[in-house]
Amino acid sequence: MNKIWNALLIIGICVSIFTGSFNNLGTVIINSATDAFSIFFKMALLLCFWNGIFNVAIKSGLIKNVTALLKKPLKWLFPEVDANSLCMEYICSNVVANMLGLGAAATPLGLKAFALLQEANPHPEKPTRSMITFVLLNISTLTFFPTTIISLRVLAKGTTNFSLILSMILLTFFATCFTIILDRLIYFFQRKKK
Amino acid sequence: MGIVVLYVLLIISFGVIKKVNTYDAFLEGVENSFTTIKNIFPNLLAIIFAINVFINSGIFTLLQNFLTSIRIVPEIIIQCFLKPISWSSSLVMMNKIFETYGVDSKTGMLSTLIQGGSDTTIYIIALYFSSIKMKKTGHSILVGILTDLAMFLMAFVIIGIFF
Repeated sequence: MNKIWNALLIIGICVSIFTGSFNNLGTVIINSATDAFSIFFKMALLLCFWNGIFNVAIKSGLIKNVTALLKKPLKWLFPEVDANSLCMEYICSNVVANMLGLGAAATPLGLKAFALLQEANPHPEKPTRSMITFVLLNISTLTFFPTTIISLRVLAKGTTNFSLILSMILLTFFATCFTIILDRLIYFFQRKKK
Repeated sequence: MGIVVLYVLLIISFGVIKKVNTYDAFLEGVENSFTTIKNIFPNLLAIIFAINVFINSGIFTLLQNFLTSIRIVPEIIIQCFLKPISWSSSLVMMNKIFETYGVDSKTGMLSTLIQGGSDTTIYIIALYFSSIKMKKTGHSILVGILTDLAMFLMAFVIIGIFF
């Protein structure tokens, strides 16, 4: 992140000397702080609100009910993890939180699951197959209801029609399938080579 | 926006049926998000500062001459580059695109899809593996980046077909 930050700043300032927007840049720099605050403000409030709603879903056991439905496909994805273990429960909750479009709520659950996966790892210096699959699932994030994204569009005074939500589901579904297939292919290829 | 109402209604009514104290549960959830929020702000300020300098430097006018032949908005390309590294900087790009091209324009929708299509690959991998102090990441970075590329292409295809 450090390198990228430096690169953005240095390239930006150098280019501005050539394009003649050097003076304009001063105003931009001073306004950055207010700019950051207005975006932060929007995001922070959204996060508070959706985490509140999500906590109701956790406390009422709704998440547990959805989790039961997911046991089978997840067992296929993580053959090394015992289906009734605490680790599997965290994995399920993490996947459900991602499905509901609550990335911020999903991450702490995911980190706990990941620590438990590492505890069961026979070679602690190398990630197991399940660990890699789990991280990849958190990248492709199969989403059924993109709460944060929809809220941001509302704040920008835009409309979100049903077809956009549908495209989002389609897109994350595609990304998830793609990542699982690629993960499996590489895994079997590596095992064959050994 | 009826779908948001339905979604909230589903969660709350389930809580009522299960006799949960929904009000307290909501408050607890809000309170728990404060730590996350506290960690976001310094990051966001640093990133917005750098991005503002970068995109206001006139680099887009240079890029525009270069990219007109393939008819892709330069902001989208920058967003694609930022997406795997930082969620918030990609989000800043999305907001800029909303302001310049309109939220409901094709470009605005494409930007939304890119933002929601996958999570921040490099950040997630770094976060998860550093949380257990592991240096080897297996083939996760390779597959993650390839997934991002496939997702970007698919987003373009979806926008092209449906909108």
